[in-house]
Amino acid sequence: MSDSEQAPDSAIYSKDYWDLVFEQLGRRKLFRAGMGVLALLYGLVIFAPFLAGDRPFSFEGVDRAAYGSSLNSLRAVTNGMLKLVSATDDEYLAGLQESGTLGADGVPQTRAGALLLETDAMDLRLDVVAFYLPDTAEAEQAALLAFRNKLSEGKAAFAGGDAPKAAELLGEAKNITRDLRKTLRPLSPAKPELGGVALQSRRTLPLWEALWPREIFFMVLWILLASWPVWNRMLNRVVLGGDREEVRRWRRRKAFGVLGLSVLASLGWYATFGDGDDMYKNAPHKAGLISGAMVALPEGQLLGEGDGVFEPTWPPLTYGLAETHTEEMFRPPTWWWWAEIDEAGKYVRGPKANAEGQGGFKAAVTPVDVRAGEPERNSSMRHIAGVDELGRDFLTRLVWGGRISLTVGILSAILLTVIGVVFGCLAGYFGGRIDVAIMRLIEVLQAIPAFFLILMTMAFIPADVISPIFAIVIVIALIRWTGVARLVRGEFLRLREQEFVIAAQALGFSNRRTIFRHVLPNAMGPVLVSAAFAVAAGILTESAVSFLGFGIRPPEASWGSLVNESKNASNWWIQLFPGALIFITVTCYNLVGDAVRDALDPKMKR
Amino acid sequence: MSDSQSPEGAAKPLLELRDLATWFHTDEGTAKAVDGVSYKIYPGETLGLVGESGSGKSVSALSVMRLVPSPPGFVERGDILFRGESLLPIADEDFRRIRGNEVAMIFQEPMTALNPVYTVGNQISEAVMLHRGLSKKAAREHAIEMLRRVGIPSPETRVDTYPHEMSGGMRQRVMIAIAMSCDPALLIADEPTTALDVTIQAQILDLIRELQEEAGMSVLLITHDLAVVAEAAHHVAVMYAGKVVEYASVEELFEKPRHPYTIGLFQSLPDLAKQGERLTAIPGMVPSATNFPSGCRFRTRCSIASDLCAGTEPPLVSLEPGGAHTVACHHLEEASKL
Repeated sequence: MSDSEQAPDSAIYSKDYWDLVFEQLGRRKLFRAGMGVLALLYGLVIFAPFLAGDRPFSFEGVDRAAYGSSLNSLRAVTNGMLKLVSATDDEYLAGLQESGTLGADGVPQTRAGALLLETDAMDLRLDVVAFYLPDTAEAEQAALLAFRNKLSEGKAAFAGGDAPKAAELLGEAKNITRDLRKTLRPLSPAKPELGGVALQSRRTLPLWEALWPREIFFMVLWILLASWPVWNRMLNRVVLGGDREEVRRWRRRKAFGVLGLSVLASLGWYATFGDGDDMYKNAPHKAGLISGAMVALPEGQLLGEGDGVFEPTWPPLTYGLAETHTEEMFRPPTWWWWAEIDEAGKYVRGPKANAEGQGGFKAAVTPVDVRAGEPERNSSMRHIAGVDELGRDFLTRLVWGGRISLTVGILSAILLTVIGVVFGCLAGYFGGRIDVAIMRLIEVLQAIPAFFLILMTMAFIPADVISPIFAIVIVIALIRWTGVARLVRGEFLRLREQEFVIAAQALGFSNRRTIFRHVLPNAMGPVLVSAAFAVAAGILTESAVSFLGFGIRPPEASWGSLVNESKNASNWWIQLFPGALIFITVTCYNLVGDAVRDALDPKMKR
Repeated sequence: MSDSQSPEGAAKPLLELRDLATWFHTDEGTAKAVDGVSYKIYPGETLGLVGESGSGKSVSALSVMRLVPSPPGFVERGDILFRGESLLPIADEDFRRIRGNEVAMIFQEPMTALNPVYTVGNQISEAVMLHRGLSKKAAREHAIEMLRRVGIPSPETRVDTYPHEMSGGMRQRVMIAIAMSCDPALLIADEPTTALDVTIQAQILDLIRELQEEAGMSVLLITHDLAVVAEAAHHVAVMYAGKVVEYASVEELFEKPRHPYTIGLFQSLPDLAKQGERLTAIPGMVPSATNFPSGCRFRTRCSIASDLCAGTEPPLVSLEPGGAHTVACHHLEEASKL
């Protein structure tokens, strides 16, 4: 973007079209402000996992609950494997028939498949047990190893076709589990006299492990784009030596480089950590730390020995997207004058302090539950944007909801632009019957009120077939492409008569080459502008559809669906914050679109 | 106009139009832009096609290139032969191999005939990459070579400039470079110098002639400027209202024009000897292509027209038997006294 920032230093260099466009854009304050705000907003939603969530960056401690349940279920899983090994194929199928799961999705239809499933479940449990078992507990490690060996021998025998032998081995393994449970039982710090293994604290990275590779892609992309002016300038000066022709040639390489680096980063992430976790699934850490199911300890320390304290690092907003605090429902932003709550859970002043329920009952109150990592009860940082009706932190939902709103805006704009450009090209370039057919189709579509068409279509799309996000993107694109198509058609009608188009045909270029390489690039200006406006329109449409309850459904959130969470004027923060964010985003897109239109218009050059 | 009497002797014509008619079917009626035109171009020869605006000279060339917008324009009858074979039955995909490769075209307006979003090098390379299958690198070398051939200074740097950074004459040179890049056998130049000032005009015409001599290619030069024809053409076909009215070698036509329209054209040229006098103009306007007069189409503007002219259309006949000079007029005797 800053290709044109340096003063021209060679006499041969003359500015090309894009140099002039970028220069024009750079000169516009409103464009820069709009791009800055948009970059900030996209940064916030892209880095949402680091800003808001209930997973600590790093956790050192023991998950006693996971250890206990894994250990206790070893017998049941071994039993399941034993049954599968000793049954015949016909018996297995008969079992399926009996339970009505013959041919059902997700149920393995062969004995080997079912055994594989059980084996995976077993490995998962064994891994958890082995993870927290101290390095020093040699006897216990040996017992676990003996059990593992029996299992793998059994599996090998089964794979070798010797089912009776496998059944015998698994039977032996099943007999071991009883002793294993006794040997490996965890030491309870509250009752050390009962004995058991003192579990060792281990380090995990819950937040990092929950990231999806695609999130890494967008994070790297955002960082590279946001820092573009800095490294671009370095690259142009140092590597390219300020040679304008060279700089111009590098433009495409830089764009591919940025994309390539982002893809590489996400692939690397996939190879290292695998897939992530869904954001609306609560992580066990906060609840576990309070109930005692999890204990935070410096890494390597044994549970019950020593008294080291480990404080996990949480994201700034320590709330999960779907984490509820029902005792705080509709609590206003905590810096608001009547947000203060006393120890019993009662509002100290303001409308809710004296509010009486129906029939004169005082509303029942519950003390505020301050969980691990959360700010204090009356800290003004506790809920900066208030709380919704299920006691979910509203700022957290705003940050995550922005992802869906902004994604829908961009995706729908891209999709509708592509559809519109294709139809517009066909109509404008070929004319005649194709033109008539496409234009009549457009007129029919435009004659139906678009918003109601979208609402109706959304109502008929079941949420379990296509996720509502993509359904809404597709529906918006399929209905709103008409404007772009007409625009492109008009440009084509204008350009078709230009001599360079006739010259391209006279050079023997195919229709496809003429359309896409010679006409379309000259028509891209208005298309870009309309795409910028389409993003804004897409965000607004998604908000309206979600507000009416046809779009995004809880526990996921979008800015539009968040506005819908309360229509009561006293819960002003529910309407104000998402509404303001929608307003700001749409305004910025319109500013950017306006500036691009002006910059692309040669007559506006000043 | 028979083969045996052609100036190149027994040589076969490169391009031959036989009674070609290209009509446009519009709501206002059928516009017979080209209505029974025949001419031949021999290898290495330049044919000047002269006529007023709307006489059908460009449409006849566009018909050869199959660039007439269709609908509404259709070739109604006649034939176009290239190297002795008809172009009309060739499928569009195969025809693309002829366009730009065998027959190339340059246009009147160098300001709009180049694509503003690509560098000139890019635009020259594209055609050779397509037709000759050259690699990107080789095509770039070729583009630089072509720019050098059309006389653009420092082609190594110019190859990376955009059309808007060049002057009109430069752009026309680039257009010629693009058209010449695949060594076509026939170059159609549609008023190549009209938009240029006179000194540049002469340079461009010289350039076309030089390149023609180098490559041995034929040129169809469409113009309304008799001076350009005198400068560059070997033979001239004068067109009026969709028909060829006179065909002759350039010397003969300038020496002894025979058709009243050709004579009128020459008389309307400014002449230093007649300084101070009013220019003689052909009275009236070119008739509308949807509504040509019956018989001879020039009769409404002709001072020697008779009833015969209104009744029958004069055929294109040779002056002497087997001669190359052909005229379509009933009253050659009277015309010679004009």
